Amino acid sequence: MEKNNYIIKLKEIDFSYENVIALNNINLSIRRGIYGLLGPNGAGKTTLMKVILGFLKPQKGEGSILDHDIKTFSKKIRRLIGYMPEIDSIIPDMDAISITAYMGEITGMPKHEAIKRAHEVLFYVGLEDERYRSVNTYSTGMRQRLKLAIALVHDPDILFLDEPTSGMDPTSRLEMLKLIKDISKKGAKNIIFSSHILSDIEAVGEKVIIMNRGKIISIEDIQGVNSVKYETYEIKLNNITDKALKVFSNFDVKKTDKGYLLLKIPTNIPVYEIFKIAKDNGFYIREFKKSKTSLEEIFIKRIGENNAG
Amino acid sequence: MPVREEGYHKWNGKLKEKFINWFPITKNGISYVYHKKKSKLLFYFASMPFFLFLIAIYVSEKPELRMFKNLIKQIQTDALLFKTYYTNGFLMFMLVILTLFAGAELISRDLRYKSLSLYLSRPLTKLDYLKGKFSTIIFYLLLFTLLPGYLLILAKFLFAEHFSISITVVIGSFFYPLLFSMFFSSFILMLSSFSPSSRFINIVFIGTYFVSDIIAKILSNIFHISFYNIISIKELFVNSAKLIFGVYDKSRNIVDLYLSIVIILLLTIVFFVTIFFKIKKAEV
Repeated sequence: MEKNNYIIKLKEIDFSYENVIALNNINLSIRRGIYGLLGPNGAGKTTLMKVILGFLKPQKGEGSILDHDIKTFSKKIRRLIGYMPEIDSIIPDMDAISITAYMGEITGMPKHEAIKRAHEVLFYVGLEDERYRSVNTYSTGMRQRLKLAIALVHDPDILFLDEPTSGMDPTSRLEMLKLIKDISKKGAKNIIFSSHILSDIEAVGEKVIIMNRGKIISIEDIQGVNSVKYETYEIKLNNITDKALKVFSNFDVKKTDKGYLLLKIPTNIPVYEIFKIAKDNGFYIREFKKSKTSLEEIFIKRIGENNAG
Repeated sequence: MPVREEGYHKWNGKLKEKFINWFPITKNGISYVYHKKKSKLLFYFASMPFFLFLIAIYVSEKPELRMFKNLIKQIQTDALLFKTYYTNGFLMFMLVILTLFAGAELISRDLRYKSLSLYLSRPLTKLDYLKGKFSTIIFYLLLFTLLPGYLLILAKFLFAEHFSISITVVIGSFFYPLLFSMFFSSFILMLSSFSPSSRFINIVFIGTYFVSDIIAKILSNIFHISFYNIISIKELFVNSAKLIFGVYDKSRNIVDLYLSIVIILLLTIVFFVTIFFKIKKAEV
């Protein structure tokens, strides 16, 4: 499969928790790169990761990672991947060095190499000053960094990051995203990370896999999404009439339930043009704000289509 | 905590496929128990019977101390001495405490802190994980049963002018500690896999051990039948030691002694199967 440039390939995967269908006929081929896994809560993102990692055995279907069958080679696969779980899973009463080296050793690293590498990755994620401190005293952000260090210790080919920025403050979040980007670039790693924060995926992902109700409903190219040559703005006029809709018809105008007009303004048109057009036609703009990002629009559209379908 | 400007460094080493891939778990567990508060005190108390019996062996082997040997019934024969060593109330109590101390948190802590996914995202199966945990507790139990047993045999060899020892004692000193350690290790790990609460585990473990003994004693005293001893965990091991070391009244019916070993083995199997299914079902 890797011969075909696919590092992960899933075919007709079904998985249910008793009577609840978590994954429904998943077909997915992933090439090298950074993939964002996006979906509302309960969409099946974590379950999909767990199936790929071999934690959960699918009731139907087949798949492979780096040419290894996910059902029969789960041990081999886990040597090649690094997993950062969403849940706060830390072994208590240990310091960061011990826990990171311990996980490296379990993966098959010689002990002295594991210790050396633990220092390196902890330094890399920015925990060098806290590496000898008990993990019990760590903040949420530090724990997230530690989990990333643990996932990286054996230098895996593919990194699975489940909600890596969960519970982090804005500064730490940006640093985490910067780390993810850096790992992908300098470490030449393939990264699959799930998130429900669209801006995170937009910031680091190359492609986005949109999931809803246990199904993959779309795979979008983020570069393509971002290259859309317009920005969406919401405006509130003193009076919304049919004339107003006609005046702004060049901007793919839509009226929202809350009395706003949604305009798609090409990036080459300065926004003050909108004010000018409004004034020339006897309207006053009372509110003017940037609307959802392009990825958000796509996400909402796809989810809406899927829910309606 | 800024992201380091040096960037990500690749690791150029090679991962090894270890035959015993769960061994780091055992090492970590042993170290964790060793570094727990009051562990040295517990080890000291658990090894006290060994030093006492070391003296007893010295007394039994030295002709000049024969008058003391004649006074102490338990050191008349090797089999009786070793049976007494393994089943003395103090050692058994200390081993029960040691089991709790070393084993109660082995799995429950991972359940409490949801660290099972950390282990299982590595090249380990759930069975490997259990092997690692099981080896930790079995290490400590054998350390205070099997090792002292053979050290006592060695002491006997060193102290005796004409060394001789029954094969029953040599084999018994291997099988009895193994039986004991397997039973208690599987029992505590089963409880540990049931609940993230170590208080619950402590109460159930200690409760089962002592309550079973109290009930057995009450029933035996009311009905004057020693057969009821098989209700008691402690007496199950006393009976097993009698049979293994051949220290029993040859004229009486010994079905309860055989039954004791069968019960221990059956319970051990039940505990193992329960742990396995419990961990298999545990959500990662």
